[in-house]
Amino acid sequence: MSDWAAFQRRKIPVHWLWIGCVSLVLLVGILYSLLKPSERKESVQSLSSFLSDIPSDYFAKAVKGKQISFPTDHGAHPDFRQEWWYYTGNLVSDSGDLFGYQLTIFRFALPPQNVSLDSKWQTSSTWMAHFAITDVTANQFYFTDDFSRGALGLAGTKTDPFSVWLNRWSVKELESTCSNCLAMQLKAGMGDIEIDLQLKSSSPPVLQGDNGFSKKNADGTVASYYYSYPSLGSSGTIRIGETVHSVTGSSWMDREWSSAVLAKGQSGWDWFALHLDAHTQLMLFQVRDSQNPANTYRTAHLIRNDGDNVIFESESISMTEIDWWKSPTTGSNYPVAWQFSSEKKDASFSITVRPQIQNQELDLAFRYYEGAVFVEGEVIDKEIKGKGYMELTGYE
Amino acid sequence: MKLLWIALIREALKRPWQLVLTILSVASGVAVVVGVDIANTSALSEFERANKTVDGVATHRIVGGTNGLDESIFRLVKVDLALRNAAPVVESSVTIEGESGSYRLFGIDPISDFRVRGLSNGLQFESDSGDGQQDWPLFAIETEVQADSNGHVVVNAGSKFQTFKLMPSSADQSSAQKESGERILVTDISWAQSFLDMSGRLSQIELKLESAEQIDQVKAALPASVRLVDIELYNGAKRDMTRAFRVNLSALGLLALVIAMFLIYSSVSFQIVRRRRLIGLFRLGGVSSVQLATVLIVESIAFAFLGVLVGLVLGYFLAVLLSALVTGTINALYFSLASSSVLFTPFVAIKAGLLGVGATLLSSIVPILAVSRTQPVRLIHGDRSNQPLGRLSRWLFPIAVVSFLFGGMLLLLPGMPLYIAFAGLFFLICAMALLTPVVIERICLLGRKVEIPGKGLLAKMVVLNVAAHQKRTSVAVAALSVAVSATLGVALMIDSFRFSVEQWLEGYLRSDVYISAASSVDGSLSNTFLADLSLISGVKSVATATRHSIVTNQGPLTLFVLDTDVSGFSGFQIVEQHVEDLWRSFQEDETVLISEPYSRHNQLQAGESVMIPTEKGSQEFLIAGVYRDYSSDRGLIAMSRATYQRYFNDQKIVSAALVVDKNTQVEEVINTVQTADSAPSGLFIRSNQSLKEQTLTVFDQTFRITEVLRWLAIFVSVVGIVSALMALQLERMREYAAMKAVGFSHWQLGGQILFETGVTGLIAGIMAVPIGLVLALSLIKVINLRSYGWSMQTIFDPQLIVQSLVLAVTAALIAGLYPAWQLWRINLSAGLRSE
Repeated sequence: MSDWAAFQRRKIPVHWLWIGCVSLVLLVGILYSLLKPSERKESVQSLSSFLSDIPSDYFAKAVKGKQISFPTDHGAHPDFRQEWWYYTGNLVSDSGDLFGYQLTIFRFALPPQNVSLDSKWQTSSTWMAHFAITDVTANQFYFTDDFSRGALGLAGTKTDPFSVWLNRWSVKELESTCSNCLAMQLKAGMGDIEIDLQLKSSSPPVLQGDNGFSKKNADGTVASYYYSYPSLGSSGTIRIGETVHSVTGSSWMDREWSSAVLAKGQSGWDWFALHLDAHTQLMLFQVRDSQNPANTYRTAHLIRNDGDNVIFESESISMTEIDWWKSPTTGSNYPVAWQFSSEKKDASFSITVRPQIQNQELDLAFRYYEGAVFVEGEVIDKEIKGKGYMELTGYE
Repeated sequence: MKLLWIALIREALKRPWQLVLTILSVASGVAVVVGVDIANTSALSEFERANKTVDGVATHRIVGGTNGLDESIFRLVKVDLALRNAAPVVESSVTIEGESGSYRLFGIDPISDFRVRGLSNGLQFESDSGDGQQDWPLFAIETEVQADSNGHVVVNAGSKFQTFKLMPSSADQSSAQKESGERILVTDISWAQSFLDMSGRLSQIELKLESAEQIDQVKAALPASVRLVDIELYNGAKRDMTRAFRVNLSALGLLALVIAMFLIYSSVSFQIVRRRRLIGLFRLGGVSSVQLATVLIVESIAFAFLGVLVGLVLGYFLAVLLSALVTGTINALYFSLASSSVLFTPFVAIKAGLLGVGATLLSSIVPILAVSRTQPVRLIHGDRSNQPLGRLSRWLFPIAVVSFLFGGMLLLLPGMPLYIAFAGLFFLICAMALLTPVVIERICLLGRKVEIPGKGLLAKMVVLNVAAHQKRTSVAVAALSVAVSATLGVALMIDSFRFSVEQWLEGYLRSDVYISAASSVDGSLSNTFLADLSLISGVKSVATATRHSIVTNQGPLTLFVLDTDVSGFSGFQIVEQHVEDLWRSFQEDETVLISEPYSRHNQLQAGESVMIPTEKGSQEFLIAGVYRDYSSDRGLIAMSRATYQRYFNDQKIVSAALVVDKNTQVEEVINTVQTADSAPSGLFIRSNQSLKEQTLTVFDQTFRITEVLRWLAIFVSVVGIVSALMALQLERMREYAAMKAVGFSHWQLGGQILFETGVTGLIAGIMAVPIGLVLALSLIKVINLRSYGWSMQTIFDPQLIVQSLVLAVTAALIAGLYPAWQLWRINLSAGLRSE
């Protein structure tokens, strides 16, 4: 005879006891799960929130035929929705170590305000900057970013002499020793990495596209104003951790402003700035159309110091991914090695681009791949071996 | 063995209500502990959650004086120091038209904020109404705000009003909507500065610093007018402000458990005594004392477990009630806190389980051991008034004395943490409780000797009965004594406290009319308005006072800045004085007064000096005196306005006090103030009398939770005394049946039962009085002083003492009602045959 039978004989309803216990336990469980504190989700402000939902009709459009003029156009263009000052370069230290760097300052416009506030924080622009260093020899990649609104003098530009800055990072024009050339001091640093470079251009800027009007799709409905200093002799220092390296090398500056980035259906771009040899540079990009790959728009610009430049249209360029790298941190897959070729008469080329190190992903609020590359191949029947920079956006 | 089980359980189940009462004893003790525990942890976790919402991942905060800091400091941080994670903040307390209560408005820079606090995460700041009209965007975080049909709300800060566009805040829809506490509004810093008249100034800069070097670097770079505060330290200090309050609550909760332990003891012994014949038979049949003890212990653990389960459920519902009270008190005394969702964690359940089972074991082990050691023959034939305490009863007196001395020592040891003092208090209470059986025995011995003349047969029987059964009821009586004494002690303490506060207010509030700006945090009175006040006919003098809060690593520090004449100054009730001419020293020599709690918490005396972070760096101020103050349990530093302005660039004045001519009606002056052209909107104007009343209302509010816990302790003990006395009386039904058979009437017998229980209750009540007085003294002289730093006068109101006597007797009478009523229904023959 079980004890419970004894209970039952005493006419104590045992099942009620059980039901009571079980439901108590259940009740406690349910209460707990209901009342368990939920963790607040940490989200990152995405770049798109700076850009999206602001109607573009507030802003000017890039149109064909505008004359780009200096030094005015070195400065900001508040009428346009966004623009950037883009510096990349390949450097080598006294001891032969290879480095790459990127410093980009972006400006994004806010919708115009018709209220005048009693606050210096009132602004029509926000600024973002990305700074990265590739330590090729050590196989290390460092990157960081910073933000500011265009207020209290925290970020902005000046035109004569030219300067652009965001908080402590800046590029400032230095007094030039020649006419028609531009010398600049580039400074940035945060935490482990710091850079201080002097950049010197011995030639005037190169206007990309059609006299500075750069189409991003075939019909030119999406376009920007775009000019470059493709070959800037560079010297200065790089600090990584406690170590300061004296470096020299070659940099590339790109300037672009527009009110639209991608046309409908376009998903991202692959952009290359290559120093093929001491006298030749190649700028090449494609804006991909993921829905209709045939609509992918390509362009290239072969720049030669003798001024004999060649512009390549979409159909005359072939771009093929030859190697992919999957980011261990974000899981994104990037085509990090490329084969480019063109059969264009008197300007044929066939070159291969490979990253100097694999991991050069900027895992920031706006995530992309931007890194130093080696380039080799043949350009107009001549063997070349050079370096450059590669930007890959819109990959997941 | 199995047979022993079955037989014991069967025997126990003969009186199911007794089982229920045992379980209920455990449950009620556990419930109160669980309720207090949950309420405390829920309030704390709400505090942490609210901090997390506001602080995000910020580690440090740059703060200025009482008036914020210059916005150029942000430039210094971002450009000169190149800090990546820094966010400027402009904040103020505001109200919304049509909504009650205040909100905290944060003006933030979204692209700085997302790195540090994340308040702006998921918020779309840019608004476009389409007609080119720019709206002022406003987000309500985790709170519901009612906007008009166009989505607009009117926000009010001080005298300023502004229409904002309420934007959808996608963030955190899932989290609970807050009804009170800190409700947060967010807008862009530019709009906030403009709206709050804070152009060029910030309230603070939030930082996320990653290394010790970075912290040192920032400290070194900051000018003397601003300071770097560690947010974790600051929040920790803020949390600690409430510690004394929480310890006090837990102690009251534990008191309920202690009372419950007496009851568990009493009902377990009862169960054993009732079954002793059976137990004796089994022992004779070969069951060893170890086996018997094991079975009885397992049995009581099973009861305890059931009790804990019931207690957890009851405790949860109790927590819902207590939570609101805890939050209310924290809101009134310390800082703004949202009503927390009641947090039930497995940890609470485990703690409650251990406490419940532990308490049961502890209180049942003595009778179990006693019975298992007793000779079986004695169990079967033993006298009916078996001693539940067994041989231990001889030791009661010495144990009580030792416990009393030990408790007294713990209580009076200086410099010990608060819970040690409480432990001392518990020892005192236990000592008193242990003495109860001894005292009852003495009283009864005395009672037997008393000659009751004439028709005193029944009375004589009562006394003899009480004496005969006192050993079975004494523990329950002790529980009632403890509970009643606790109520008495707490009531006397609150009464003394209230009396002291009243006395203090009487001397402290010297003016006739008190005026304060709408929002005590950010509102202010303009100079024009203050000048106009002094021109009102009948106004003899105008004094001003403002509380400025300074953020420090040790938590908020409050400066009480006042500008008054010597008669207003004489409102300070000085308890310690260092300088001869306090008034002159206070006005001219830059000395300060500190309040009594401040003096106690920081171990500072008059004549020493206190460091205050000012806009001219940290400065030392001589403490000219210590004054009595009940307005802040953290304490205040009082400083003259002249001194203040030498160290702080802040003109803000929040309140003013007017002394009115004897021949002038106060009401008239209030009317004139209200209608003055320069009067800011939303002024609070109160007469001396209404301010006093209001202060006392707040006082009463903050003690509401103490009252509730007090009544819970009473409830637990009443359950206990009812069960104990009722059990005793029901056991004696046979006796009553016999008396009925020899001709006693229902009324006589019923009267006898009630008289008996009443006498028992009266004894418990009388016992409770000295314990209550000791308790009150300990609370007033030790616990409160150490918890809050408030000294107070000791008032023993005889009315409260009578009340507790009545309480004890009433509880006991209730216990007698059911058996008395049973007498009517008693079946003579069945009653006589029973057992």
